[in-house]
Amino acid sequence: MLRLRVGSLFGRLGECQKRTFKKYPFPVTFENVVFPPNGKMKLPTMPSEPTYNPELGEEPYKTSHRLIEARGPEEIHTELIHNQFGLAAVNGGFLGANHLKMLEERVNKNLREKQFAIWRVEEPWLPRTKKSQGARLGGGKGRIKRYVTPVRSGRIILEVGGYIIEPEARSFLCYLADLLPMKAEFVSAEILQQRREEEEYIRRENANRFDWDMVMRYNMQNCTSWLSSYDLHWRGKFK
Amino acid sequence: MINSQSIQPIFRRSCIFLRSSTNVKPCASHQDQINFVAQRGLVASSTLRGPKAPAKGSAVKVVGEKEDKAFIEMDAEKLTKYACINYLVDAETPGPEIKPDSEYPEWLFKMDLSAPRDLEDLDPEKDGWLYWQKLRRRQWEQNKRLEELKTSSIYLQDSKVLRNFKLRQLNVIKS
Repeated sequence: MLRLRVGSLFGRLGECQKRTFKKYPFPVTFENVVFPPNGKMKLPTMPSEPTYNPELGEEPYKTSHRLIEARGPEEIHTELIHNQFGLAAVNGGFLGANHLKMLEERVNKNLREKQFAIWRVEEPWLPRTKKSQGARLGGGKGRIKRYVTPVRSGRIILEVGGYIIEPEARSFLCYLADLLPMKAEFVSAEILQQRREEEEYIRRENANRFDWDMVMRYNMQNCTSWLSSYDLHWRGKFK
Repeated sequence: MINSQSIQPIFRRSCIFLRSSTNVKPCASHQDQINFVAQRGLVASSTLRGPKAPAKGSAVKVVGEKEDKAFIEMDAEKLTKYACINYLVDAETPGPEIKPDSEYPEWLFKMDLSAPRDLEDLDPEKDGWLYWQKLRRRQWEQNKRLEELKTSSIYLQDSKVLRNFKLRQLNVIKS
């Protein structure tokens, strides 16, 4: 910690040996950290498929791809519960059991003492079917091969917290964001707050009102006839 | 058995010796105190280990299974009368005898044996140098971690390689 600064003989005159303490910025403190109430610090293993109770009349079912589950903005899980760091989806998409397993392994490996992570997505529940290789068309829908979790744009996938600083979380969450099937990004409570303020500022101060909303309201160039219904519904923001 | 008046000082002293006074309520019952002391005795005797295994690469042959000498001491009277530290030594008593309170200095019973506090629990005006010591430690630790991460994680660097890689993925630039 001690540093010895030695003035060169041929250096500037008047400079002499000086012992100083190395100076660091004020550290990050963790007064407001809230640990999960169940005391589990690591991500639990997600079951790869849902469990059905035959006594209640539940049984596996087959459906279409149900792309609507991943379309549009997320309305509920957009904020961080623990106000620290997390991984958020930018686009909609479907998370498979393999992606959740990968996230669990990588995150748990990188967590240190007094650091925790929690899931913000549910276990895979949407069935995906596949016909066996070489089978001819027809004969009904194929067998259920796997289950997926639909994720909408802006959804928090997982949260990381505890005694953890931002670069520490960023070092492994940014890496994981690149490995997911949809576009994902690192978010912190500060970043989300900043975005909200910016949005509010633009909404309040913007003088140029020309945007997709205005174009659709006035039906410029008859755009409502050639835009998709999703564009009309979400004003060109989501697909 | 020992009566409740005699266990009181022994209990207190054993608490101090075992550095665990924080885990015990001040007004624990007689039976609780004996149980507590017996429990500590369990910890003390189970930590006794046999001879060490030979180091790797040495020419000594590994002898077959050895007799496990570890056992659980349940005799509360013995545990409260002696500081049980030398069971494997051939001696009459398992350790030095615990004397009455008056034999020990007063400060021994006033020692603060609570667990070390974090920086968040300290107040610079109340705790003084302890706070600044912790603060310095925290600064040093965080700086060290940051320096480690800077070299190990490309995502913390303003990397031209990574930036170009991402732009190439988006077809903004050609490879």
